[in-house]
Amino acid sequence: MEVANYMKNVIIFASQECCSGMLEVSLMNSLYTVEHIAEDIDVVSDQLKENDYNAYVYYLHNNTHPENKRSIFQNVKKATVVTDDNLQEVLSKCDKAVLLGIPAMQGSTDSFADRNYGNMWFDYLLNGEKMGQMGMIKVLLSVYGIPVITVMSDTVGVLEAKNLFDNVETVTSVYDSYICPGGWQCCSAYPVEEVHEKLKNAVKIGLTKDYAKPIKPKFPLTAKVEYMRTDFCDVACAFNPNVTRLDARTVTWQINDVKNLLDMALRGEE
Amino acid sequence: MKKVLIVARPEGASGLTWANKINLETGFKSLAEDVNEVAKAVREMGFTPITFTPEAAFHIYNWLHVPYLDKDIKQISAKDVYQQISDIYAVVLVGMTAKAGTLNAFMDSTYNLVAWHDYYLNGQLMGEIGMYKNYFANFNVPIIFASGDVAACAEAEKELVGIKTVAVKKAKNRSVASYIQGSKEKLYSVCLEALKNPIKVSEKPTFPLTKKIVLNRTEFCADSVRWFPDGVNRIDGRTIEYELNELKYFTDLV
Repeated sequence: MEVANYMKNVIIFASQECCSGMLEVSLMNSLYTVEHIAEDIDVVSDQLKENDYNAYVYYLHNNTHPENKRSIFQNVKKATVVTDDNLQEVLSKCDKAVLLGIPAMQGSTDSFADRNYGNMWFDYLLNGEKMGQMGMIKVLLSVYGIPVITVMSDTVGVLEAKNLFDNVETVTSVYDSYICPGGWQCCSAYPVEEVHEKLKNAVKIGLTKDYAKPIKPKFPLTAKVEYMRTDFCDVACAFNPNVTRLDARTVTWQINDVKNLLDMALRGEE
Repeated sequence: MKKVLIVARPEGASGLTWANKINLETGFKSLAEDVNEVAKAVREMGFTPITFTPEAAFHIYNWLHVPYLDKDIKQISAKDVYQQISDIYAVVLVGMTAKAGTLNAFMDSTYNLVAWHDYYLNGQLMGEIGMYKNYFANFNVPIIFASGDVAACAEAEKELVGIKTVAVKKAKNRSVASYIQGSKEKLYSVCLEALKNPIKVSEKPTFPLTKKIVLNRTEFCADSVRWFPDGVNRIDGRTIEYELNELKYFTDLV
């Protein structure tokens, strides 16, 4: 992949959970979500292009069937799709990042579809600090010195983003997470046009701000995952012989370098 | 005539060695066979066997063993247990599992296979065996025997010092176990021995009793809050706490 000149590229990390128009967990992996997240990506890409930035999009793995990922990539018209194979190359040439639709850390009260990177993770800690997907992305981006300028998430995710990223512009796509009478998780969504308008403004403002260069982490990092169940931990140990099993549900390992998100997770959880 | 209550759970039945067969005839027939073996000992000692299977995940399957029980073994509800508690001489636990998060245990879980991560009573982490211990101790009823996999029996021996146990299978992992040859036949003899020399009842729980449940996901927690009575305290995204000033039904603990 030929990546455009340095200082004019923005990487978009996207996930479906808190995309515009999301209403309930049963919509995950549906055509509805595929179209909405692709639209969100295109809206941001349009705004970036207006300001002479190239847009690259990396879609987070978890909770998405490969067929649906392909559909999202096919529906995205205005950003260049990045995969694990070329993420490192792209990140080395980007100077800003946008996070779209990424939910709050697993276990966040009143959040919608709170998830960690690994589907079966109960908690993820890096150097003793609990974090979700946004936290992992922050660590990854800090290796490359890339600040996050805009985050779109639910109400709780937006608060998490404000705590994690200095000076970040935020857009709330969905709010008011609740359990419907049928027993599944639902939420209310702001009108899609309104969210897109706010996204455009947030990106526009974000691009004009100055950001302190993120501090690179000191390696090695100590990662720890507590799984929801013992058998999930058994699988992790089978796929990853380098981990140390602390108890029935917890493993720990050292991370000596981070070039992409997978470097902070374990094999078998892609 | 005094009764002996057999608390039965399918997960720890001797013939259930594959977790995915829990809802098949193998699983619940095996549980009934284990209960019937233990009931033989109960009858021999002059007691009436009654049985209770608490509701939990996959609860609609939890009673499919009932038609295979000996005809004189009556299945009772949590409400019946409370109403008949003064007639219960002792409790035996059949088909137990180790608490959630136990290494080398078959279907390790605390009451709910899917939703519960951890369970605490008055700050003490425990599994289902601990829940039974506290419940029946409250009514001065001793738990004298337990069967299940190796890990469950080890947990029972730790919770209830001196209890007689029979390990009917050994876990290869959470989903697969191997049956321990000859263990089913031991159910009758060891239970008989337990009835002849019952251990003392455990210490009563102190009130107010604070139960804390950590669930695997926030949506399970939010769903639980919908169903709990007033007074449930949501500590964080996945944890609820509830104070009990008295214990009546076993379901008060869940």
